[in-house]
Amino acid sequence: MMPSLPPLAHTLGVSTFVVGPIEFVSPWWLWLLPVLGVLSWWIGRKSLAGLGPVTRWVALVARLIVLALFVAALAEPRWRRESKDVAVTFVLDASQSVPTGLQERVERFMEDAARQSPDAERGLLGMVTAAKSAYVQSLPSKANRILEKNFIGATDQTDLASAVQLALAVMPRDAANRIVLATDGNETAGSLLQAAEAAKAAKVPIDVLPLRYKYEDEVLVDRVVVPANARMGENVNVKVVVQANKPTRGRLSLTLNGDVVDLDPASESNASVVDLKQGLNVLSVPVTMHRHGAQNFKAVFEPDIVDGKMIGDTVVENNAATAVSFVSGEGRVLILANEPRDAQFIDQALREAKLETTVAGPDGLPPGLAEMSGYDAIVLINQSAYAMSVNQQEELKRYIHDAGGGLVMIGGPESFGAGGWIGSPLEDALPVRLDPPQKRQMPKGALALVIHSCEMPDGRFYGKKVCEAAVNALSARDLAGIVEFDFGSGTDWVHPLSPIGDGVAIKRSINNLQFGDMPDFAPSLEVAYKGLMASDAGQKHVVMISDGDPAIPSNALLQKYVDAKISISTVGVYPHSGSDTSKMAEISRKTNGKHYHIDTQAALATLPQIFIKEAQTVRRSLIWEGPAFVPASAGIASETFKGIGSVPPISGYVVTAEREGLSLVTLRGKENDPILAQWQYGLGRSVAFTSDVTSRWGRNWVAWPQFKAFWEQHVRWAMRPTGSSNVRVTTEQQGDQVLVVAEAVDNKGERLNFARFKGRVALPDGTAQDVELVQVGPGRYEGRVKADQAGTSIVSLRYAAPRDDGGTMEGNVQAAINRPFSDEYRVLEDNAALLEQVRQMTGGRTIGTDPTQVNLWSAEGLPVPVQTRAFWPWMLAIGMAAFLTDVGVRRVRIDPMAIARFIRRGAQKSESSATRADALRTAREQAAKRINTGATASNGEAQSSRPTVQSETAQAAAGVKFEAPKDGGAGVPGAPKVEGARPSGTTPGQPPMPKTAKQDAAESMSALLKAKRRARDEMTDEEQ
Amino acid sequence: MLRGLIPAGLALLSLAACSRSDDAGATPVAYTEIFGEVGINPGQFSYPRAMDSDGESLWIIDKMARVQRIDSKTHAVTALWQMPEWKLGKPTGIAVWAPDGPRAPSLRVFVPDTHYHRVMVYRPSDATTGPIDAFVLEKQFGSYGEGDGQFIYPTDVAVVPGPDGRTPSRLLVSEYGGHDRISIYDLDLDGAYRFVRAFGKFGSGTGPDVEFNRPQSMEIDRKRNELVLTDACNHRIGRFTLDGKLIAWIGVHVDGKEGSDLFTYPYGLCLLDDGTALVSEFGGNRVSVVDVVKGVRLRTIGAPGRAPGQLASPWAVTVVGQNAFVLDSGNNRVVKFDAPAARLTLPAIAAVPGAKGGGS
Repeated sequence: MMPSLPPLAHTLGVSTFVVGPIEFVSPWWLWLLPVLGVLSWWIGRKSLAGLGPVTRWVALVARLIVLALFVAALAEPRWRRESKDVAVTFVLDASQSVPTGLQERVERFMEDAARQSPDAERGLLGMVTAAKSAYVQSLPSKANRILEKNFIGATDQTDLASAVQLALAVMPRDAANRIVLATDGNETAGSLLQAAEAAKAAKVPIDVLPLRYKYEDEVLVDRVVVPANARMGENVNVKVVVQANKPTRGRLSLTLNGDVVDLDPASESNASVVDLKQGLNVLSVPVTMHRHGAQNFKAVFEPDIVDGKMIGDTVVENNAATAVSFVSGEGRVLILANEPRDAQFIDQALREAKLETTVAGPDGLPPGLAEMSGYDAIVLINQSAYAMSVNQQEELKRYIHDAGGGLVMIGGPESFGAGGWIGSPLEDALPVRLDPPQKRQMPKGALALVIHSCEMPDGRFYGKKVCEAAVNALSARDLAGIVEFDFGSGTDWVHPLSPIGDGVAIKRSINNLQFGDMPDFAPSLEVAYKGLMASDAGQKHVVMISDGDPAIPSNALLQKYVDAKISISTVGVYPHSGSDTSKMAEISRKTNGKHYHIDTQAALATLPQIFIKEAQTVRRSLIWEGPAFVPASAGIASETFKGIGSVPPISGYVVTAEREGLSLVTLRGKENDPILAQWQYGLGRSVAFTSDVTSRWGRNWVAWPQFKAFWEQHVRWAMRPTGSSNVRVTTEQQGDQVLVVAEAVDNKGERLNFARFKGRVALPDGTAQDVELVQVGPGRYEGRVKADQAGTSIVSLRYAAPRDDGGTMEGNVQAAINRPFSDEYRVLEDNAALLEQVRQMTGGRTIGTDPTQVNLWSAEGLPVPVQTRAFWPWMLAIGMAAFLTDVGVRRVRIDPMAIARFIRRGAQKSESSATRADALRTAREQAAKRINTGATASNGEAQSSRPTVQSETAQAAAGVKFEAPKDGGAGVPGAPKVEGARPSGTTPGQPPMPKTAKQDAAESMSALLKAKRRARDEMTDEEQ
Repeated sequence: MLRGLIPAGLALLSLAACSRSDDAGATPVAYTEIFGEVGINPGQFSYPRAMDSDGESLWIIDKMARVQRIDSKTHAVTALWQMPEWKLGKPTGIAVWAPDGPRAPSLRVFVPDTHYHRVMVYRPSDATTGPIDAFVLEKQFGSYGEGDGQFIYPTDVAVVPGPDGRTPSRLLVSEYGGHDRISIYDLDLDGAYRFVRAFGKFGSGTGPDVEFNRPQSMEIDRKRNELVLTDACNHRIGRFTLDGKLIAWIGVHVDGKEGSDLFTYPYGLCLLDDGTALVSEFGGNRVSVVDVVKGVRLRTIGAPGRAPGQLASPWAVTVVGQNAFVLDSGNNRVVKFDAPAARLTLPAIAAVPGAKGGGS
């Protein structure tokens, strides 16, 4: 594309020039008009002198018109259309700081104001909501007179700036614009003033509608203070800080890991009645730490309720606070297994090694990072990915990478690549690659996804999620394709059945899915069938997602699937009726697939897992089973193999691939496949054993004498180093920053200096930040981290310090940062001052409480929006036409008399056309005869053959045949040759002689001289 | 001036691109007006799927289960209500019966409440005030099932008037969902619609044993006493006697092969006075003008796309006066164009086989 040049008009400081409905963008070009006009007239005065007076003036005017059009085109003319429309974009604060009911009242107020506005006919109305994120509820439109909110997102934050920016972005350009901002003015993110600057720059006034309130009666549990670390059996002092606006009474309760702490042993109730004074109240409770790991404290204040009304309190969301303290111990290990017997031998071995173990099923994985962090290592035995939510997988990954936990994944038929872990968040944390190279894969699988419209809430979101989950669970060599109905192209592959490769192409297709409203299943299943039949995959499978209302496929089509051994699994998402469910289930039953019924939001969240599970239908090929063999030792000296020689044989494993980088493979199987590998991942470590520890593949392992030592050493290697009781970590909130302080002493109780602390903070939203502590005093280290999110953030620190004996003292320590609730709930009063500042900055209005007094769409003070359309190409075209006219006028002389004669002749010509044709024919015959006989004929005969009158006409018409020879007639036999004579005309009896070039030049020159003389005479006459 | 050249070049390029992407030979609708937009306010739509006209206004139902009466000239919304239940799904059809004009008390609105397996009949409220007319539910019939008087997914209602030409004495209700058929109901003496019988079954055969795959919309040809319907997923149009005997299929392959050589998911149907019909094709993204008697398509109107005049999944088509309106569902709008002929509106059918007549 040609680079855009800066407008010259701006460069010269000339602004747009407006004439009526036309404006010129580069008006300075117009200065050429008088200059060139005069010049053109001056030149034309002489150059057009050869023309007649009328023709000359016509030519001159045409030339000036051409000039004017070309110059005007250079000045970039545009049509202007001024709009009278006014658009109001209503920005509503939908966060929880605004008292309940006030938002609805404001919406109704706006609707009343819209109805009663005197300028309603020209008004467009739209709405944007502001909370944690901003969302457009309706684009500005004249049809909008009812304001209704749809999805507003999380409401525990207020980002007014984003909402104003969004309102600016969606404003129509062909209307004058206003923003009406209804808010309490309390923002927890972004800067409203900065957004107001943008509005001011765009000349959009922000009218403010302050939502005024003040909580007179309010109690909030400000925080629970516990030490970040404690020793086993230590008696810690838990402080609960409660803030009250006025003296009041209520009940305070405290729980530790869900168990109630008795605050008032004298009372039967576990809660304590507390009398709060105005301001901060601190309640101290001594608690003894009896368990290892993360200890969760929660304090809750309950106000007295009289006649259903809370006394002394208004907002309940800020009545609870939590805190976490970590108690160090010998090491806690969580073992997750589908079947308890699978964990039996490992559990026994670790217990004998003095580790504290907890055995649980797949649902025993703690939901959050804080709870996971209570364990030093987690062992997964034959666990499939679909047994855990994606969120849990993410948390588990963070547990290793950011919180320094250990992971040991032990195989089985439901594990590693065969268990759907390919592409899962946890795959990154494993020391092996789950998608093995092509040569190690059995026949590949093919999966066709048939997608129908998802009419449930967030249907498109989940539709895309499930497709991505299914594709992620397949290997790069598997085939995947997507079939859907699109209004433009009908039923077809939106992504052809092809190898997944890096997955980029198919994910792009997934992102572009339209979720068309498929009328019937048959065409989609036909397309999928043809595609799968044409593929060379070993396992072929179809997953179909639908609400079930398309017309059913024929039995003949389903029988084709059965014959081809292609299974169809159906996922009924919010089916319209039992009929839909049964007909989709029937499709699955007939083709040996599975049917899934989704009709709740909770079930909807499991959709991606279902698709991962379904994808496994084509991934059974990753399991190797055969005669037992002894895995080969890699021969690498590792602390995990201390004292261990050869290992027992195995008869199966899940095929994986060696991971590049720092992964250490210590046992190998067939074709050098990794059997056992380990590596450091972030702050934590992970171990992968791709065979199993049951009689299935590891019959000889459980009876192996070194079984205990083998697993103790591997688990101990992976697990987080036991926290040193010599390092105490505390956290202190300072605004949106948190100060992390570590105080370290050595074994002699003296300050530990020159230690290096490095760690990560895992935040509640799933992100993490690095944190580094620097020494600020003897044995004291500090670092800062931004943690403004509500919830619990986990700080994991690894440290290394020099010992007196020259060695290094290493360890790991954890702490929690607790922000029990959003700052949204700390707000007790509106911030009208900020709104007034915004109003003044942008020139807006303060909207009162009477809707009849609000002219919502007042255009007063607003810049009139102008739409322009360039039309210089038209001027250029007209100029070209005028230019040709100018040339024509000067070069072509129009003689009316000649035209009249031509017309008359045309009429006669039609009458005598037959006569002329005869004459022509006669003349042609005579001429031919004469030419043929000319060589022998005498001059007299030639003269006597002179054509008649009719023949003359024919001669004129067919003159070329009677053209005189160029050699003056010498070429014609019998013609007289005149030596030295100048041919000056025709001689009777001879053909006419052509003019020479000199003759032509002389005649032209003579005509020009005559014209020049005539012009001079005329000018002289004019001057006289 | 250079800045002017760039958009001009881009415009040429985009024109070239458009010409490549458009269907060969398909041209946009030569529309005279386009109205409607996405939204929740009156006059706005959220994927409108059903439309009929009463001779003056358009009746449209969208995926918010809102029934809107929209003046075909001013586009003002003059009636609006939401179906009583909609979580399981929304209606996909509507039929308006206005024998005495659009504002007469005899007006009836038949809504096949597709996903609630019933037909709802609405009439104007006696207590209408204000600019929006109120309607009340007069009666409803049908339940889930495959038995007599039951439906899987009812899609449309065709009204057969009695001898007086005013009373909707017989109703034909189409349905799909694996039990595709047309059910016939007669108005009995106590004002209820009584199931008489049904014809058709699920399938794609072309023989006299009638088979349907999603009969989506129906019209009564009052000149010939015929039922004309679109068999959407078989991509054809059927002509039947009013008691269900097949007269002809339009659009099927001559050799009996499945599919159609004319239509792609014909969803909407409007019979015209000159013996032709407008057929909106959901999958074809166009409106076909069909000679119903000769069984040939005369021409197509529209091309797929989002631009003005282009269509995206048009569900319905109707005619008011000299104007045709196609429900451009995928674009959330209505496209108006010159109708080839007026809508077929003969008032009465002399004799309806099996109809008992009567009035309510």
